[in-house]
Formats: sequence, structure tokens, C-alpha cells
Amino acid sequence: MSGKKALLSSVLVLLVVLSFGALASAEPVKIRFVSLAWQEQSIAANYEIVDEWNRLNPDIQVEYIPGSWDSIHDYMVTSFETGDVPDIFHYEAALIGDFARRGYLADLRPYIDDELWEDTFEGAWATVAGDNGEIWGMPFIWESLIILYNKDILEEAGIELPTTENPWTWDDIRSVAKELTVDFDGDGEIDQWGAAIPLRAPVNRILNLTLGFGGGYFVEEDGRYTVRVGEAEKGLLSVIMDMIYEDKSAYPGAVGLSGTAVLPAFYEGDYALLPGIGVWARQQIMQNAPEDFRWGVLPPVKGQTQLQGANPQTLSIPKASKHQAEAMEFIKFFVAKENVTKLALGDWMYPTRKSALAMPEFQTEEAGWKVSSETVQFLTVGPWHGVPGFPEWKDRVATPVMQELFANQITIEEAAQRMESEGNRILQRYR
Amino acid sequence: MKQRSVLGQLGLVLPFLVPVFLLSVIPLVSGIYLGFTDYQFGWDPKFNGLDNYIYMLGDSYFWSSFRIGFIWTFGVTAGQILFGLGLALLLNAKLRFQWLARVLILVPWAMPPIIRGLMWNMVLLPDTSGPLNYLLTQLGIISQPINWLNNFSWALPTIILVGIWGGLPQSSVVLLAGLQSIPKELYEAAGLDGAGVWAQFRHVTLPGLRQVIVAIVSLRFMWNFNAFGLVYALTQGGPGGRTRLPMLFAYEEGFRYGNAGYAAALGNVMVLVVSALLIIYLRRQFAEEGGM
Repeated sequence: MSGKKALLSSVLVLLVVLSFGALASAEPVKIRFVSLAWQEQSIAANYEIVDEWNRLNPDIQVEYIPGSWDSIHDYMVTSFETGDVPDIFHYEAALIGDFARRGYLADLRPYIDDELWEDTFEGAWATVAGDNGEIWGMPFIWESLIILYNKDILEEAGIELPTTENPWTWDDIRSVAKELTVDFDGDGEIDQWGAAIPLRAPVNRILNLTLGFGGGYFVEEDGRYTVRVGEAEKGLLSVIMDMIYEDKSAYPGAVGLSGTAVLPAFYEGDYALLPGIGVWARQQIMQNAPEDFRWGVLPPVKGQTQLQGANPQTLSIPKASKHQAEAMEFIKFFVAKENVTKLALGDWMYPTRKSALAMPEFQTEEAGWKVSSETVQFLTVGPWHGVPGFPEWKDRVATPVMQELFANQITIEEAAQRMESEGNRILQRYR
Repeated sequence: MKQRSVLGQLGLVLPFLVPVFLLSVIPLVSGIYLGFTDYQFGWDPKFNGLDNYIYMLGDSYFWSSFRIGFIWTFGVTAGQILFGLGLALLLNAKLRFQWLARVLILVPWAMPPIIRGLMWNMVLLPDTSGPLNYLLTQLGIISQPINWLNNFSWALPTIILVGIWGGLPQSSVVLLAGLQSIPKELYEAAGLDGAGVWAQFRHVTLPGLRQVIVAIVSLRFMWNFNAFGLVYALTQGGPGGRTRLPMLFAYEEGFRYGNAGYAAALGNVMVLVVSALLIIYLRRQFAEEGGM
């Protein structure tokens, strides 16, 4: 009796499973897309693009999954290890190299046609390229570090502004900042600082700017990487330290502030210049600054060159995804000229596509777009991209050491020595 | 007949044993094993003996995280017991609105650690929009708002206070139960002998609570040493690693940097250290008791 019953029920279960299987194969392909968009405009742009794709492609339906920058790394590591992966995920060039090294990512190069290849900036491709020409992610938007300035203060002081052809060097910045640091009422406290350099999370900013000094923090020898903090690297560190502690022309409180946190006092006229701030900051100014606040964008500072490290936002496809070709179709749609324009405007960054950057939206004088967009020519890949163990070096060593340095608790020599010795110990563990 | 009953018993136990084996024993054993391999995510684990532990000995981040872990564990456990005892005594006294106080004291217990963390994140906001900074600046206790969770010297004390707060209900409820089990006659007798309030507390209450205190100290010690959610939500181990407890350190190694073998080794060491300390503590307690 009971044996018969069991047989019957297992046949039933089997039937149910089979019929679901049959249904599934008749259903459209499902693509899961984890996005990290967080600014309102940019989320709207993402939804618009996904909705339109789903309308145009009934066979390939994209599911939009909102993720967060704080947890994406842990989330993806767990996904890769369990094999339950989204088909597309949004991240940044500097960190997908680590995933690629572990064999988690699909090579997108075979899917990329000539048109897309030619129309994307070489500097952007370089940030996602593997050793053998693989492409580990589609770079779609990126940013540069610019100088923001208070128009009223600089005009009043009669300072001659730099141009793209004739940019300021760090020495120029130093002397201008000194000139613009004023104690109006003579009470011994400075009322207007020449500059403010937000350094709460200093590593990305310092690394990206160091390229202009000819430095790069990492050198490769025989396939092994070592940390090297030489004269070029120390050059930038000492300019900043001198401005804060020797000239006293850069606001020392900014050492503990983030890029967003220095802005309110900038609107108040407390700082004349914000050197080395991300282009996205313009969005905050447009949204939050008082109506009568007059400001502008200056071209990036020149060390030896104006080169800057770039770290585009990317879309990648896990190797474990069962629908790589379909996922790539969606990515191509996502980075089509009109769409990537929408996305870049939503985040106040630049599209990585040449044709999109040429659109009038990015070439207008308004909100400093033109000067900003011209900086794209200086964006290039930093030598730290793809260095095994770079994320650990950045969090564990470079961040606290630079924070202590800029808080004037250790010397540049000590900082350099610690970043090298502690860093190289960490790098040795990685293969 | 006999065989059948053994089988029958097995049949009863099996449904429990299978999940225990699948969900506890296998992960535990494989976790211990991974601690002796060079496992990095993306590659196959290879047995490497004591290499992880040798690296650990020279790993300054490991030492600093354990140092922070001990400051945190001792601070939080001591605070939970001391304040818990104080609260329990108050709740045990015949005061008005006692019922309300007893309910309110349970509130933190009802919140998961992550929610506690999010809530305190808002309380501790770095500018005067944070209630704590607002209150303290209004009262003139501090002149500038303090960035509690991001200041190198304030971060650890701050999370210790929040940690104490989160564990208070449990310790005070357990201690309250202990208090209520002390016979009233003992206090009367002590009173007749001329013992004041303090002497009664020292000679009646404390000895009466002794076993409860030993139990709650051991439990809280283990839980606090292994704390994760609250601190993860508050500081993620920052600033500059000043609040990187051992558990966070192991989590970072595993999930952020993909060094699963090393993370498992850290887990093994944590289990060893906690067990060793507990054994020493419990032994001493029982030895003293035997001597009494």
C-alpha cells in the first residue's frame, strides 16, 4: 500500500518538475543586471534604458537589481563562489582586475565590434584590458579631477586664469593659494583660505594625481609587483603637505573631510580653490549652492604632465552566466550613444564613447562642461590596475598611512617607508 | 526484537542527525581544514601546514585586531555586567512604574545588531544634525561637534558604549532573575546583625548572584569577542582599522581579499583563544567555589 502511494507521489512530483522545465524553455531569456546607480537622475536613466530594452526585446528580458557600492564586492565574491551569479554587474575598472585574475569573468573582446572598439577612448579600454588582450568589462562612464574656483575671489584679486593650452603647475597653485589666503580682520585667524583639499579618503585622489608627476606607486619586474614610493610619488605628497603646514594656505580641517563635505564652506567663500576635486562635484553645486554663487572650472594642474589615473565604471559578465551573448547584446544597447549620454549626464561624468562626448551637452560652457570634457585626453591607466593585492594594500596600508601623514603625525619619509615595507609584505601573499 | 528497537531509535534520531551533520559538522570540519590550506578564491585549496599561522605571527594587522578585540571584549563585557547589575537592582527595588521600566529595558534586545548599528549611526552623525552632538553642544559640554565614528581616538570608545547598550537587557534580565531568587530572610537576618545597605550587597547579594554572574560573564565574553553585525554597521572596522575586531578582520580577509585559507586560520585561532580563556576563567571560579 504505502509503496504504491510513494510511487504515485514521486511520479506526480516528477511530472510537475518536468512541466515547469518545459514552461521555462518556452519563456524568454532572463538577464539579471545589478546596477550601482545611486543618484536620482542616474537611477531614472537606468530604468528608462532597461524598460526600453524590455519593450524592444520580448525574448530577452532584463531584470534591474539595485545594488550598493558599499557591499558589491562582498556580494559578487559570494555569488562567484556559489555560482549563483547575476548576468551583468556594474563595478569599477580598478577592482574588476582582481575578479578576472581569479577566473570569474567572461572575456568580452570577442563580442565587441569595430564600431564600438574605435568609438571608445583607448585610455578607457586600457583600464579593463587583461595581459592577453582580454576585455574584462565594458567601461561606460568616467571622471577626472578638476580645479573648482570661486569667481568673485579670483576676479577681485585680479588673478590671471590658466587655460587648457597653458595650465597651472603645482608651483602656480601654491603661489596663488598663498596670495588668496587672507586674515581680513587681523585677529590672527584666517578668514579666507587659498585652497581646500579634501583628504578623508585620500588614496584614489593621490594615486590618480601622482601620474602627472611621473609616479605610479607600483612597478613590475618579471611578472612580480612591488610598491615603490620614490621622488615622483613624494613630490605630490610634499606639495600638499607644504600647502597645509608650511605655507598655511590650504585649510587644514579639510584633511578630515570628504569631497562633498568641503562644498558648503566653498559656497560661503571660505576657500578660493578646490584643486583635484572630481567633476561630479559640479552636480552638488548646481543643486545646493546659493543662486548668486559664481564659480568655474579650471583645467587640471600640471606636474610633469597633466596625466591622470582613470577608473571608469564598468559592466562585466561573470563566466558562470548562462546567457553571456544575450547579456552582451544588452550591454551594447546600454552604451549606445544616446543611452550613455543620458547615463553620463545623470552622474555628471563623461561617457567613454567619443561620439557621445562630442554631443553639445558635454561641450557647453554651462556648469564648466567644456573645460571638464577637455580633460578626458589626459585620462590613462595607472600601473596599480590589476596588481594582485592592490585592494588590500589600499585599505590596510595606504589609507591609514596617508591619513596619518596628512594629519601631520608622521613624516613623508616614514609614510613612504611604511607604504613600501608593509605593502610588499602583503603583495607577497598574492600570486 | 531487540534489533528492531535499535533501528527504530535510529529512525527517530536520524532526522535530527542529518541536518546537524550537514549544516554544522561538515562546515565546521571543512572550516578547520581550510585553515591549514593556502586557499584563495578562484584557486583550489592546497595543504600548507602551519604556513598561515607562521604568517599570522608576523602580521601586524592580526596583532592589532586582536588587541582591539580584547579591549572591546573586556570593556563591553565589564560594562554590561556592571550597568546590568545596577539596572537589575533598580528594577528589583519597589519603585513606581517598575512594569514600564522592565518593558523599556528590553527594547534593545528586540533589535537585530544591524538595526542597532543603523540607529546609532544616526544618533552619532558627525555634525550638529546628530542628536548626540546637538545635545552636547547645546549643553556646552563640547564646543565643536565630534565625528564619533571617524575620529581615530573616539571611534573605539564610542562603539564600546554602543556595544554595552545593546547587551544590557540580557544581562540585566538574567541578573534580575538571580536577584529575585535570593531569599528575603537572608537580608532580614543580615539587617538584624547590623549590616547596612552596602554590607548587605557585599555579603548577601553578590554571593547569591555569583553563579549567575559567572554564567553571564562567560556567555557575554564569547558573544562579544565574536561580535560582528553591530560594528560592521557602525564603522566597518575604520577609521584606519582602529575598530577592526578579529571577526571583521577575518571577514575582510575572506570576502574582500579572497584569502579564504587565511580567514579560516584566523577563525581557528579565535576559537582556541576564546576557549582557552573561558577554561581558565571557569576553572578558577569553580576552584574558588570548592574552597569555600
